[in-house]
Amino acid sequence: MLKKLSELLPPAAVIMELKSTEKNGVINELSAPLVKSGLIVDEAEFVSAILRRENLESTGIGAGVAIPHARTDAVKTLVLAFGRSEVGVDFSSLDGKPSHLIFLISAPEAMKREYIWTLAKLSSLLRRQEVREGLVNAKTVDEVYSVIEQYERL
Amino acid sequence: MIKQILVWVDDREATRAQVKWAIELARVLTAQLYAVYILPLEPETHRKRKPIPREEKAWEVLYEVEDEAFEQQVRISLLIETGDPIEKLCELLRSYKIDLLVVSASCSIPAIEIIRHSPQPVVFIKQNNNKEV
Repeated sequence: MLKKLSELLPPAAVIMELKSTEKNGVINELSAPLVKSGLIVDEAEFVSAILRRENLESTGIGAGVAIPHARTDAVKTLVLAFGRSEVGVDFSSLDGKPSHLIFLISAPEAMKREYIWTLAKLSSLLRRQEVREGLVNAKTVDEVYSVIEQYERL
Repeated sequence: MIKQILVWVDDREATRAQVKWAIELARVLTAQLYAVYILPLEPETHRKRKPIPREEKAWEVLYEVEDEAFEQQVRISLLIETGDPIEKLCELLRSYKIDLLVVSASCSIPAIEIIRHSPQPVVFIKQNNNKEV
């Protein structure tokens, strides 16, 4: 059974204002709550898997959005983390613009179908200007969930 | 020297051959691969609805391609465009300074139209992996 995006995002993994201003720092910052909650079992391998992807792909999909991602058994299950950056972070987006909305996605190797589906669903959602604006303007973690749930289609 | 390759993908099974070919070529040439999925123009009323399944499908196809490229250690960027395929392909070829376009021989547009408009060489790949230029 495929889960809704809002069900894959633990509240602790929503960071309303990221402290880091560079890619590696942001990935570490977004990973931290997943490590704390026990969803990531090997932090070093997890970060390394995300960075291996980053070295080969531009996960900045444009319009101020980046979706760093990886399949790795360093994570227990399919999981999301979300962070906002007012100043923006360079994720080598094709449009050359910094990313302000950053979603981290990871899944174990065996969950390829769910992982691809979640990436696709999230990318599609974030191409919508009203969704991006909603996430930028959200004042609380609850409002972030409201935006996602409002536009999410099962 | 071919340093940038653009492959046009859609959700038909026939596109898999040109994806595999483009990834292999990019790997051998250490080239940057761009994969594009071109969505048809939707009426304005449709665009205001909740997420369009067709776009989700497009992303699914692109992320499958990305996964395959990653396995081969090929640098890849994903693109989604909306509009006329020939216009969009030509725009991308110019804006990203692409050296080669890879297309399925069974794509939705006559090969001659693509060749006529493309500013760069085009390779058409048949489903059985035979190559036509």
